Amino acid sequence: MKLYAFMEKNKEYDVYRSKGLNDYRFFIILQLFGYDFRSGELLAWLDDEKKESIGSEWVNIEKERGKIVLYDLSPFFGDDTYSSINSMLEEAESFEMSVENFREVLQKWEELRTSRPDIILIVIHEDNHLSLEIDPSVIQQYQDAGYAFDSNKK
Amino acid sequence: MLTNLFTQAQGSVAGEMIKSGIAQTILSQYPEQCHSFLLTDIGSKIAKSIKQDYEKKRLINVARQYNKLLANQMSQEKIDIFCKCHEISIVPDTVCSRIEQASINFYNNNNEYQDLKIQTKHIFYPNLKVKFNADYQNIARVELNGFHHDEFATLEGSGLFTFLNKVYGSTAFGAEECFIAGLDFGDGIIVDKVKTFFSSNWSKEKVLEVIANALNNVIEDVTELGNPNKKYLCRSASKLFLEIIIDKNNSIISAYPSMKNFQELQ
Repeated sequence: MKLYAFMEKNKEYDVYRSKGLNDYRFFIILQLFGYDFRSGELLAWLDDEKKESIGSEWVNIEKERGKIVLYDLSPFFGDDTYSSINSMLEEAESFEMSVENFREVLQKWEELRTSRPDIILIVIHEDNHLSLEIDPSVIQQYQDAGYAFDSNKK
Repeated sequence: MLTNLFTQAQGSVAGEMIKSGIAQTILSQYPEQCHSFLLTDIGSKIAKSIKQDYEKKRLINVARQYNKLLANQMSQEKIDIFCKCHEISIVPDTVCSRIEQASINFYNNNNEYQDLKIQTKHIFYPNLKVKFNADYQNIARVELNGFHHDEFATLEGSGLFTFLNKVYGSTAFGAEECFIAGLDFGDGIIVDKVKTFFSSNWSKEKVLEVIANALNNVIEDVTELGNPNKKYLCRSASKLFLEIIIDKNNSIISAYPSMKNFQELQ
């Protein structure tokens, strides 16, 4: 089953709000598209063989077992009792994706962070493959295929 | 006589206690597996500084992590960095008092915000978290949790850290005194991921007032799907964009100048 969410732009202030499934997987994916990572930062990290970990207060990203694993740190935000990020990861929810797919998504986002489309559809496909869609006809196809959502619904 | 006693005690637990200055009464409050850490200089220092239950819980977790690092034969240099990060994260009494006083002053001067709960320590004092590599042989990075304001550059002036690569915000957003920066805490502890900071020329009371006022002017709910907290993009009277994070108990757990104030400058 595909899962979807979308980012809709507030045109006056040029910021995105997210709508769709209230799920930790979208939370950690959405962190890739926020302010915590500067343009090109994640792609540079991906290409740096010496670095296996990158993150923020909200997400931890690892090169693990030939894959990319994103960990949700949101439950630990502001909790000062943990001794290290590693101790949080033992309890954290995660989302795995292939290195190739991670790179594709980041490259796509580098385009979108400049072009700033009004709506970006985020789809998690059955095999954990992630895609970003901006073409209205493709978004319509997802609606028609039963992954329907009402973009006007708040 | 005293010298003899000290010499005899060296190498024993008693000797370690003398060296670290930790009392048996403190040691007895913790599980035995924590004692090796408590007998280090930093372990002893942290133990003596504890005032809250959550700090005690953290100390126990730090001690367990310390044992794990020893078991994995991590180099002493790296273990020292881990310990140093926790030492830095202890809020000194003087800073604690100032934070508490600022809260009291803020509520005294702003009756309308009596019900507003703000986790001030998160905003005003750094907390460092280490990420070890999978094999526990290296430190992958140090993450700075919280810390968005250094009142009158007091903490930087004390030598706690040095700001790196400061960039001030846009005048169009009233952010010309706010800045983004990385931090160098010394001993190789560098946080190169930039964070946003309120103006160092502002008092803590002013920061709290700006946050509280901005909450009356929410621009957009930018809470990410799945985020257990609410995140709002707000705007202050001087046009500064702020992000304010509120937890399920309706408490402000963080607030900071939005990166939007700096977007065009990077």
